[in-house]
Amino acid sequence: MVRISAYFIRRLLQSILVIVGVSIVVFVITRAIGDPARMSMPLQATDEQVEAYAQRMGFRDPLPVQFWNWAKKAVRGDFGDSLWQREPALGLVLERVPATLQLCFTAIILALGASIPLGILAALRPRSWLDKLTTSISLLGVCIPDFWLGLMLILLFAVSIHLFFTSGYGTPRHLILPAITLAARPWGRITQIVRSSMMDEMHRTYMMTARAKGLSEQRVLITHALKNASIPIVTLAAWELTRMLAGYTIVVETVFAWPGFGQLAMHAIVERDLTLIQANVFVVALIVVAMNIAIDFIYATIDPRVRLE
Amino acid sequence: MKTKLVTLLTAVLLLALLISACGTPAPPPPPEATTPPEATTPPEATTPPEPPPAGPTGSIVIVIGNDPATLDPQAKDDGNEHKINDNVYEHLLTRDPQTGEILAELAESWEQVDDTTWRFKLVEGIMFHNGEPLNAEAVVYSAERIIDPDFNSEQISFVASITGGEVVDEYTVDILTDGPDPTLPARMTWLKIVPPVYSSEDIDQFEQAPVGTGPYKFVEWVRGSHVTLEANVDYWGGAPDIGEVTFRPIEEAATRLAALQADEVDVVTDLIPEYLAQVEKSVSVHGLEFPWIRINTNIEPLNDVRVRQALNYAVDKEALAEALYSGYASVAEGQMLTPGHFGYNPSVVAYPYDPDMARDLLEEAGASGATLELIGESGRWLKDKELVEAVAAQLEAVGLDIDVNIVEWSDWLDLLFAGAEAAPDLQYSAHDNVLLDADRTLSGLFTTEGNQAAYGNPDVDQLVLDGRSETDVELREQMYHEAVETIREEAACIFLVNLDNIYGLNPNLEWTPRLDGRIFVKDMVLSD
Amino acid sequence: MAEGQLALDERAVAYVEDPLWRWRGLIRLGRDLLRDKVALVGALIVLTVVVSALLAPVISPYDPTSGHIGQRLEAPGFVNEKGERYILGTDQQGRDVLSRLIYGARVSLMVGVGVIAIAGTVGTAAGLISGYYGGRVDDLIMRIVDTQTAFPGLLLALVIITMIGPSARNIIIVLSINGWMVFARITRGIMLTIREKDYIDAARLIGANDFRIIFRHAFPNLISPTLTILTLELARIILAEASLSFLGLGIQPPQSSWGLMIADGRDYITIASWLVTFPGLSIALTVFGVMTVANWLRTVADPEQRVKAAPAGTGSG
Repeated sequence: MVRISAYFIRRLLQSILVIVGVSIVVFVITRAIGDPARMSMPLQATDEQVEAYAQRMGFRDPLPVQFWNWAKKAVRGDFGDSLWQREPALGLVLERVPATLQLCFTAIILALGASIPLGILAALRPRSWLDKLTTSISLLGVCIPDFWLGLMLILLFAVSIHLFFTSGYGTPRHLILPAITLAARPWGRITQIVRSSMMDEMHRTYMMTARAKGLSEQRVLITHALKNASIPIVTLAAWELTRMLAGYTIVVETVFAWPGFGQLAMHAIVERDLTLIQANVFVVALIVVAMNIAIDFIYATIDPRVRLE
Repeated sequence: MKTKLVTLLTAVLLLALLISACGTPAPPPPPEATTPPEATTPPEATTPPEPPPAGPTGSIVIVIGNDPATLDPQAKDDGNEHKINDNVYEHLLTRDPQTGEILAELAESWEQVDDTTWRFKLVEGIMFHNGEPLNAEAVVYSAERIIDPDFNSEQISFVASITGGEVVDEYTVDILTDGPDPTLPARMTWLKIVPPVYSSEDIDQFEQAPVGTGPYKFVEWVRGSHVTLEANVDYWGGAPDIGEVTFRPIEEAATRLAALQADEVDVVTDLIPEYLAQVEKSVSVHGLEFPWIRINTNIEPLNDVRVRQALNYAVDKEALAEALYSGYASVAEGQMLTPGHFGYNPSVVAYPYDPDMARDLLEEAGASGATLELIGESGRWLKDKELVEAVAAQLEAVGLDIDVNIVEWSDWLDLLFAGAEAAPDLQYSAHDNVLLDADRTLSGLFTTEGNQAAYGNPDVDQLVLDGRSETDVELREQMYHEAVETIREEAACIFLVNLDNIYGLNPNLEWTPRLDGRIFVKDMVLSD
Repeated sequence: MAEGQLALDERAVAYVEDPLWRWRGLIRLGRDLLRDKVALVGALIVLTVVVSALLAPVISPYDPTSGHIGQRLEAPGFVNEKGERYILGTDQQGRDVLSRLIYGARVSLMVGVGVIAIAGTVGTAAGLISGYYGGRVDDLIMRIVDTQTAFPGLLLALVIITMIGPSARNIIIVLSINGWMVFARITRGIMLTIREKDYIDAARLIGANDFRIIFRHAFPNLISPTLTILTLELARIILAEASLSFLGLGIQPPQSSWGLMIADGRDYITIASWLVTFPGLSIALTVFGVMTVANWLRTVADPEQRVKAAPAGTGSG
């Protein structure tokens, strides 16, 4: 117990480091894409005005000094106002967090729910028609362009039969189509991993032993193989979820006009809204880091052998 | 470039330092304000409130391109904001939807008192939605607010000549200009009148919850999701027909179409013409938008007028209008003005499509096979990138080597406003002059000092300068005619086409689109 | 496990000593491939794509970059007044879709393979080092991975492209920078588990150096999972190139790539579905081909699977 809590303290410190690292990178990047003073001022502002503003805001100080001043405010949650919407940038991002989290978690649950049984069935009967079908359609999930899938789902389920809404946010009828679209790729990838790790597990000696001991096939499957195979599955699912949060949702959110922070990030980048970019990246980093810690817990729960070193 | 590299290196170093300190508990704790919220229940769906029993009924949804930057009607030059606030705020003057003629709105009459003073008589008894009275003071306040250098409005060019206002009496107001400005009435169709007390009390509130005198009142703005307005039953011009209007941002063109087909939205702007066959009901009107290609006339070989003319001969404008826009566009007649613009020169016509002539001219100028860079962008305007590619293909067909570069929006903007020195050879842009007066187009795009110009001719500069303050209407028109003709002869840019505004509508919605592209919901009628 | 490994090594030595080993191996591979129908189909697809990319100027019917807007959005099979046939139709600029598809294969494959090569090598190396040495090195590398994973790739891409300009080469650089982490993660994970295995200890005991251990003993175990990720990533990268192109950060017109064709054609998805369908199908088929070949290679190359699949010592590779 002592070791576990020590581990998590260490993990927490590492996470803080990651956040600081992300902050440095995003700070420097936003300085690299342009002069913040010029960008904060309207197009017609004269060079003198811009220079005066830059001096006043400290944009001409040495970079480390600027970073330190920026970080002091950022720690208090003050990233400044968005250049685009003239509101505190952090607030604008936080407003969008529930929508994106809702979308991502629904998608990953759908992906896991559909891929695990399918992957197991395929692994049980390698090279059968079921296996081949599973491999093929999961492959399709991987290489289908997401906006194409999204638009097709819209045409089918929203325009032809008014089962779901084409776009927007609020009810499950809004959520289903974008979640399915977003789930396609992770579903394909996870199915492949479930299939291959289950196959690996089933060849292992303990499976033979378990079978020899007369345990029923199903029981062996669930208690032993799946449990052991779950590490790569969880790893991949966590990875997919992380990547979704850090940008994969953008296309889906755009196609379905889903008001999440992916769309906001895209907009911030296109508008070169420096403060909004900073706040957005910061929030994403926090969520990702929190999730990574949560995943460590899951590992430990699944497999006590995982050493929390 | 070099400084950027240094910056990056610094970052990498800093990062490496930090990471190598791994394990030492030095860094500050994470800010408490930023803990990610719960991922669980979505907010309640926003159910539309019950419409009032009598008066305005029904509700419609209008699609906009993106979330508005702000709902302050005077701060940004943002089409999404304008579409919403055109229904909340009003102007002293307005335009006839079809002819563009200037008509009364909040002002019942107006006159020019002297060269620099215009007097407006306001309609009496109008209230802002919060009860503030619309009076001379509010007008003066609105004018002075938008021109305040500290306010730094992006709309400043629309009201550039205004220096302030004076209260004559409760309902009479003078607007002052820095010199004679015949376009002032046109400017007053742009300037939105805002409530002085409310807008100065709490700017944050004002930016999020607009209060005007218009036919619709603000209800709510859920960022990224929608803006809702409701009918102002006490509207001084009579309550509008439709009870509730929701503006929803949908970026993706195909999704907009789908939403219209699925009856989820009622008005879709900027519909791709190819979609019209799939839409039950659509309306269109000649618009004000001119896509164009700016030529940097200061550099070899483009400083040779023959080369620029060759570029114009090489482009098949009719094919662009017919094929690319399915006929929902017309050839720009050697100018970026419509017949509705003051200063439109009816005797100037487009360069005909003549690839042989183009080749000859290039040959003469010794510019055959020249390599030219063409800068474009993607996604801001209808078929922007496609147009650039099509034009490039036509220019290549006459023996030029066109190097197309589709750049990201901010880079594109930087290049557009970089000044003539740094301008790329050729750059795609789109221009629309909502003031319907040639001055805006000519001074911005074709004078030496113009902020988007890469062309300068002292004669044109003088004509535009004189025209701006010429009060004799005919003389002024003549000046513009002359300037327009010179610009055409000198082939100061590649003239392309003039786009129609296309709207997809719910079949139950009756509406005639306007020349100026504005969407006034009060003009719409919803049948059952 | 260790015994199987040793047996395998002995067989391998015998193999290498045979003067005809190279040929024999290839022949066996070929025979193996012919037996596995799915892998054969996959190999044929990959071969077709590669050959058509290489021979693009020879086999494409028209110039992929020039079109006439008078004949835009014509359906597959369209014949214009000059009698020119467009088997897969024309695009929004009136260009031949088939020719663009063939030329697009060049760019897409180059980007896909380039990124896989760079990101795969860098990521795998980082993961190997991280997993093998552990401790501070591991901490350092994994924190960099964490940091970059938590960072929106698009933003990084934007900044880099802004600085170095858009081109196929730069897209490869940008996507590699964004894509190495997954390899590092996976490799490290596997490395952590095999580090403890007996044969690694044995190798260490007999004094093999780190390099030798990593590459002789650990590497073969990585091939199977890494191949899976490689093929999965290939699809993602080809599509990622599309999103960059769409933002104006990618391939510049009139050049084409499959991703760009999809991104540009998507507005017409309901009226000219072939614009998106053919490049989409090309991506799907290519990935399918690469994946089946990779699956097959996996069974050939993975020492553990090999031993399991051929316990009687009939190994063929």
